[in-house]
Amino acid sequence: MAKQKILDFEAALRRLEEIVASLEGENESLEKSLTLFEEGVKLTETLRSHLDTAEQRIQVLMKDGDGNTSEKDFEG
Amino acid sequence: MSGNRTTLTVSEITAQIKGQIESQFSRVWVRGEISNFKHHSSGHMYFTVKDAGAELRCVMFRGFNQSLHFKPENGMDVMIQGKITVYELRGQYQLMVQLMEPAGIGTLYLAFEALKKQLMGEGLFDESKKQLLPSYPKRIGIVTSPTGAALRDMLNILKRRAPQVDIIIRPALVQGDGAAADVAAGVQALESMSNIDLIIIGRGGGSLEDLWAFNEEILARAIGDCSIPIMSAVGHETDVTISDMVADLRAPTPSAAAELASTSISELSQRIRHQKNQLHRALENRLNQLWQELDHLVDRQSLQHPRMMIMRNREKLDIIMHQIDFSMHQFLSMKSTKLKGFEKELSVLNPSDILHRGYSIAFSDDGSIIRHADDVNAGETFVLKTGSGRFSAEKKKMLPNSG
Repeated sequence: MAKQKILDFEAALRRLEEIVASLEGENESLEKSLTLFEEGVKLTETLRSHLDTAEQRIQVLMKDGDGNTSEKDFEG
Repeated sequence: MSGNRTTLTVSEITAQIKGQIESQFSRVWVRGEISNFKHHSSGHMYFTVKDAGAELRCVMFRGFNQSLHFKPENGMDVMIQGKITVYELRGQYQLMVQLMEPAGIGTLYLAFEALKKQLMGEGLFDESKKQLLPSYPKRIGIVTSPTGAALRDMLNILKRRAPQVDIIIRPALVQGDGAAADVAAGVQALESMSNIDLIIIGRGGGSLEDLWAFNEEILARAIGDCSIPIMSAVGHETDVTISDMVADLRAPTPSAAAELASTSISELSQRIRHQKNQLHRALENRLNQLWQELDHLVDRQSLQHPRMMIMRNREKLDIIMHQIDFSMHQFLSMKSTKLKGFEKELSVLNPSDILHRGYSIAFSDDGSIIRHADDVNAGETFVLKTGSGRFSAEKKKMLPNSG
């Protein structure tokens, strides 16, 4: 039921900004800089594909006779 | 015949009646039910107000009725303020209306003011109670009428603007008996789902009575108690409800709420693009800077004290070289296909150029780089990589440092 969409967009974007900041800081070793860069590239790809494949899911919270709730896809 | 009889002409007595009535009823409040309502093309309104025992003709001229906050209709219970005027020509009197409001409004207004004062006293409207709205909500909960225009407007905007955001709708009664309790229950139901970043409650425009659920205490308290940020979007821009005051943010309309709730996908794309450019630029700068440091080091040492200084720093340099070589290989092989553009820039930094300058890299037999003399035991073989070609070598013995 739940799609594989567990990306924490906000956290990923914040991490990307951190990476850029540390690369700009000019304190990291070469090896560390390259590792950071690579992580940054991967993050931009993940974030981009997250947006490219964004497909809004709309659900309705339904209540049955016993007061239990369930989620159904919205048909509107 | 009529010697001492005082006779008045019709005009005279009408003038007297007019004078008496108009001075006595120059400013009165009347309550009654509207009937025979007619909004004339001239803009004036003509109607009567009545109760069980009597009728009163009324006129409300255009200049006065333009400021009405509601649409008068037959059967409506209203409070009217105005003055009685006498129309002498036809011997009729009427109420010239200056103010009119639905009779119910008085009690609603009082209730609104009382609750507002009470909740304000309890601190429910305090700025310190307001929660920050999430910048990148993943899931937005909406409590509203499933058939209303408000929901349609919000869904349209969210679909176009922020398809990355999921939505869960909790259908609720938004007017009439039980509406406030239903919306309050909706807020609690969404709160208990725990994976919702923001809740919007709202409905489209309507009369004060229609919007009343959003002025009730039960809903105000549910909003105040909710741990998830809530946006209230009730009616039009001019309608301000108690819910709006308790909510973390008031949106002037449901459409505006949808806009305020989400960061647009185009803005997000732009941010990512920007960060990507920054990332490339930062790495390029970093690499340029490291190369510069290295070149400086080489130049300075050789100028000053040719051999000795170089030898002293050679070990240090070698370590840096090895790091560069190792990292570049790893990096380029992993990224070569994805980062074609960037690779072009990197090609000027190709580690093999360094080898052409006369440096070599020693690899142990397991392929790892030898960084320290201790990494290889005497008698062990290893591979030496030069600018053109590799050959195998053997460690004879340790030499003293900076020989």
